[in-house]
Order: sequence, then C-alpha cells, then structure tokens
Amino acid sequence: MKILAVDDDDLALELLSSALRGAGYSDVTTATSGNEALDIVATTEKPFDAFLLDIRMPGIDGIELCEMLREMPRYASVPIVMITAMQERHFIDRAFAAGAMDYINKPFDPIELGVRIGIAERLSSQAHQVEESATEVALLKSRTGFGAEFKAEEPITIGDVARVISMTAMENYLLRLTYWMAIKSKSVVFSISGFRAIHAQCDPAEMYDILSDAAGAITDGLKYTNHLVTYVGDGQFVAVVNGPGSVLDAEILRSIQYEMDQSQPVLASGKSCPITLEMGEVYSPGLWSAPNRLNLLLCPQLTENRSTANAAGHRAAA
Amino acid sequence: MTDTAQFQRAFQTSVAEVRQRFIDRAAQQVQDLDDLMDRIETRPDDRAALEAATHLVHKIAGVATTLGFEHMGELANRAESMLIACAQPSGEATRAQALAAVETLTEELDRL
Repeated sequence: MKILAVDDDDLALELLSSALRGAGYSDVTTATSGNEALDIVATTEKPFDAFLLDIRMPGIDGIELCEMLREMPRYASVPIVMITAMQERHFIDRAFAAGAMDYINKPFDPIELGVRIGIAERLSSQAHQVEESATEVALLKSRTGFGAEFKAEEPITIGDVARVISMTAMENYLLRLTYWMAIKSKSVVFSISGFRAIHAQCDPAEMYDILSDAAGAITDGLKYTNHLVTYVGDGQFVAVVNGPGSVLDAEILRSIQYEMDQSQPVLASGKSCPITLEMGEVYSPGLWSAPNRLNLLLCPQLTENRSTANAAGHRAAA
Repeated sequence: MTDTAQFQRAFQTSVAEVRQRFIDRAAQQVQDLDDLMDRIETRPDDRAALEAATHLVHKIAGVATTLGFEHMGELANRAESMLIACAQPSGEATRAQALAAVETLTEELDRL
C-alpha cells in the first residue's frame, strides 16, 4: 500500500514512518505541508492508496487537505486517517465531515496504528467493490441502459452529499467520542417507506440517485445542527447530532419530506416513484449506555416506532 | 522474538534517535517561545505571535509523550489549551495564565 503522510513536524513524520515500516508499510512518502502534499499528489505516477494527515499545519490544514483530496475522483474513497494531537470535539466532527475515515490521537501506539491502517485498507477494498457496482452502473446505464445490482440491504457509501459518511467512518467517529461527547449526542433513523418494493422496481443507477436525493434532503433538514449521517442499508439513514439546536422533531421531518417532494423521481419506465421518509424515535444515550458509543448507530435502527411527516403533523395538531 | 516484539524493538530504536533530535532542538524552541511570549506580553493584540507560539507548543505536544517525556507532553497540552483559550474573543484564559503555562513548559524544556 502506497501511503502519503503529511505533518509539518519532521520528528513526527519520522516516528510515523518508523511505525508504518514496522507494520509492514514501507512505501511511505512524506510531506511537511498541505501544498507540498498536493504537489506530490498531482505529480505522482502511481496513485496513493492511503493518507495520514496531521490537522494543525500552517497554510492548508489537514481538514482542508482532506476535503481537497475527497474532491479528486481518484481519492473519493481511499482511506484518509487523521493523526493529530487535537482532541476537541469540533476537530473530530470537522474531520469526519470532511471525509476522514478514522482519527488517531497523538501520542499514538505504533501497534494500534498498524492495526488501524490494516483495517482501513481492508474495509476500503471491500467498500470499493460495492461502490464500484453503484458507480459503474451509473456509467453503464448512460451508455447501454443496463447495469449490475447492489442488494437492498447493502450499506453503500453515498459519496456525493456533504456530511454523509460511510458506515466505517461513522463507527470510527463514534468510537473517538469521549463519554461526555457521547452523552451530549443524539441519533435517529430516517427510513424510506416501502424501500424493498422500490428497490425491486429500480435499476441500480436510479436506486443510487434516490438514496443520494434522500441523503441530501436529510442533511438539508439538519442544516442548523452539527450532524453526520450514514446510510446503513435497507433504505435507512442514521443521523447523529450534537450541540445547541440539535432538535429532532416532527418539524425536521416535515422539512426533509418537503425537500424530497421537490424532486420526486420518475423511473426510466415512466412510472413515478414518490418517496416517503419515516423518522424513528430519537435515541439519547443514558449515563449507563453512553460507554458503548456504537449504541448511537445501532439503537435507532432497532426501534419499531416510525412516523411520517403527515402522521407527525396530525399528532402535533391533536 | 515475536514479530510484535521485533516491531516494538525497532520502533524504540527510532524513538531513541528522534528523542536525541528533540533534545537537540529544545534550546532553540525555548528561545523561540521566550521571544514570542515577550511579544505577546508587550503587545497583547499580536495575533501572529500568539498563533506562532500556539503552533510551536502544539508541535512539542505532538511528539513529547511518544518520546518518553510524558510530563512535558502534559505541560505542552495545557499550554496549548491556555493559548487557544487566550485567543478566543471571550478570553477564557487570561494572558497571564497562558504566559505562566508556557513558562512552565520552557523550564521543563530547559532541563533536557
């Protein structure tokens, strides 16, 4: 695996390179600034397979660099791992929103670093196979009208909507939260009603567009909150929010549904495919459940109660 | 020797080499921090000096603990937090607190 490590401190880069070599990653290029990293990326013959970025650097910081890399099609889904001494929540939130897959705090354990890079490499390879079926289909459809399938339950990555991250990244994000950060967070699931039936009548490119539009509507509805969203498969999105103004109520759902209603899809068959979103019960970690950060991802999915914008409106009016 | 033990041994060899370089540059860092804090004390609105001091302290915090200087790492983290808070409009930490935190850090660096 070819890795680019970026840190303005040459001593930190040396420690990082040594740890990576020990973990079996000998093809490591280093850069001491965001600008140097971009030059290297632009001129390299063989693309990089992963990036390790410090956050706090003069000029382009690591989060800005992450955003720039994610805008390059070649690096839209390669592992980007932030490795930094910044532990405050807003850095963690911004890093994952910018497209980071993982976040390692300095001082780092060299063994753990090797393991996390290995996991990122493996998951990226698996995810890439699923994503290829979604994006290749879009290309194939434009040329032939035919394409491969991805299964309804597959948690594909929606890569073209800001603040919508892969499940891997969401898990890593939640695991980076401290106990008190988790206590102050909430999560909820948004589901596409009748998803399996819709999936059965769509081709994969149409399905991806519907999921992308739903993701966009959800993030637009949550725009006044600090949020990250992930698609977990079966037409379900889990949103994790925190901070002041992170209210998840019927009004949010109505706003999201309104956004969806502005561009309801029409399939290639000519059939209209109105999409209705449901919202589950909001999950807030309690004092005893907060230690398991992944509950923020798992618990909303387990709740049976869902409401639609219309039903929520009737209940609110009653 | 297991692979993990070999890995750790090799990493510790690297750490020892980097540690020496960290010690070698400590004197310059102390000088740089003293100069920057003098500027901040004289001109509280010198944002460039505050930013440079914060960045320098951040670099120390980033490697000190890995190199075996745990206490210095803690001091650097505290100094960085004070400097960042000092720069906020609400001024959660006074300049005096930030200056004191940096001075404590430079005293520790001087001992290297």
